[in-house]
Amino acid sequence: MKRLTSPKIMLMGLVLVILLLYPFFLKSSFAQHVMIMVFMYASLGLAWDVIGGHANLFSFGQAAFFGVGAYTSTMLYMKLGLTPWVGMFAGGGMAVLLGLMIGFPTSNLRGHYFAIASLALLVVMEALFTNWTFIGGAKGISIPVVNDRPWLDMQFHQTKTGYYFIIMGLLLITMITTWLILRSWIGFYLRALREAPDVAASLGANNLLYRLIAIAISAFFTGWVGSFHAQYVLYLDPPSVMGIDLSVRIVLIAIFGGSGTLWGPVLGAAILAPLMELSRVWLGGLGYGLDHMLLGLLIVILCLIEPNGVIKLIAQPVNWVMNIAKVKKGVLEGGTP
Amino acid sequence: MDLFLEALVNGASLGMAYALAAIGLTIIWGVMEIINFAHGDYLMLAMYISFFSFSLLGIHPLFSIPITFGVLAVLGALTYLTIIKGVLKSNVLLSQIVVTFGISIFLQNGTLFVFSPNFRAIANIPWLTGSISIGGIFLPKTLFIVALVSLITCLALFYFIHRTTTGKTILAMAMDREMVQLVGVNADRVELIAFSLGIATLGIAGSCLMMVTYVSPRVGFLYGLIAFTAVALGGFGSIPGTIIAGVIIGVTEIFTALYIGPEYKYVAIFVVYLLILIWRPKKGLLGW
Repeated sequence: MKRLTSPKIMLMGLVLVILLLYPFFLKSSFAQHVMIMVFMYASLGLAWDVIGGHANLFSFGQAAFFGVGAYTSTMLYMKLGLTPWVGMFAGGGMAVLLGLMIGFPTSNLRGHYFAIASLALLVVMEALFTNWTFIGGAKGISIPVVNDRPWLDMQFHQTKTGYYFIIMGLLLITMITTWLILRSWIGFYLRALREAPDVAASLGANNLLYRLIAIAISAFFTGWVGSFHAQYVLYLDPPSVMGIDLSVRIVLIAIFGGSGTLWGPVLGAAILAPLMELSRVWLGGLGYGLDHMLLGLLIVILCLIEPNGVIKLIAQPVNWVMNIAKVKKGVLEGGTP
Repeated sequence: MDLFLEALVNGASLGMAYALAAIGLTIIWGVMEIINFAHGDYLMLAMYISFFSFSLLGIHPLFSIPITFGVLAVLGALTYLTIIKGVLKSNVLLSQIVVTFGISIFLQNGTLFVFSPNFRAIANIPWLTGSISIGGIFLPKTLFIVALVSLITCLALFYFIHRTTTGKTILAMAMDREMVQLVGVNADRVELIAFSLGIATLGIAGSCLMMVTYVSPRVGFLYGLIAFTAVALGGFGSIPGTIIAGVIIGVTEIFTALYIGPEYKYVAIFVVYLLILIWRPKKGLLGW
């Protein structure tokens, strides 16, 4: 058991307090929107990293889980009047079902074959949802605005503070759960199967079982956040919740920050999400695409400087500070696990 | 029955263009085991070059092939020297995937910024309007030329890879990298040639596709995905496999559009791909 006064715990506590107070000091809706996007992409990046970083399956199909989560909770809410709080779990559950349906037939695929298969599956899903009129088809769905019971309907119209705390809670739950799972035996099996699949399999590790567990965990949290996003934007159509852009953004954020670590995807989201929002606002007026152009350039440059992600760039100075604080060397080396 | 044959011929011709777009990917993959996710975006650039040489300079798309080929060869070489070489050295698989995505985002949004998201197509290509008839089956002249050019290019590439010294070195690199370096081959130079050649074939494919379809900054993603599918379907690194897969994809696309509905044509392509992937997960049709 670590002492509660250790600098690492104190630093995390400080960050938590700052984040809890943030919406009370910065009330502008844009400032809160940026942080909501950070939390959302951090959760999505973490969920991706469970299969991308730990099971070595480069999934470009995350947006399919996201979209299924969003559509499930929205349809339950609109057709049956079920509160999104329950719909979120249903959305996560449907995403898990989809994940298992994808996981079985692709169980033999590794590396680039899995990456391309997941990309193809996403395109198929998007086309099917676009042509499915029951769920709105290409027109999309607008969730009716209800004002009288914001917490029950998960709709906040005066201020974004409610959304802020909900997504922050989701991120914390995602972080703690993935951390607990990945440092348990499941995580060890996953990493063993990642490093030496044949050796691990010969020692009795069930490749298919652990792969499906990883996909299910990742799908659940992605679908969950998808349900939240539907309530936040109150509109969904296939390109926005199931588009390839979303998938790519999720993968980029996780790898940009540092894949295979707990803090990497969070760090990636903390850097890239504000950058995407700010550049959209500042440069969006100058013409189409300029903001994303810079994003692409930034990614290329980072890959050339530090292929392991931003977390490796800052690990050195952070460790140095930690050493000054007289902590055992290497506490934050790549984070846990 | 005539309709069936006509769809088959049209699909196969379109498929040849897809095969041509995919061959560059298979060469690059074979030599350096890097998935170039920006592949389709280079194709999109070639299509723009072909379009503007026609609309601004009046150059027939068929004769813009040398221009697109040359420009893309230089672009490919520059990309390899500035970006790919360094990332390959780092030996981190994830960053190799991400860096090409970065290039893709950059190219896609760069063209969006410069050329706007409008769709552009060449309407009436001089002396290629109308269609020809082969034994009662009608085929648009443009599609016929596209199939012909693609076929010639594929054969030329096949000859280059299997019969010339440089080509054989590329093939050898794909088979056993260390051994090739051991006998004194400059691996960096071979990689440069392979990457540049792989991108340059897209120049030909771009000029061809410009004759039969439209271009916008977003088309790159779709053609890129079709090229990946063709490569994975045919087996990574196999040129004949890629050509067969390209034709299968073209025929699937046309048949689905004809008998099921055009909105499902890409669904069908990827379903066929996934089925073959499940059937032969490691090799595709002809991979080794």
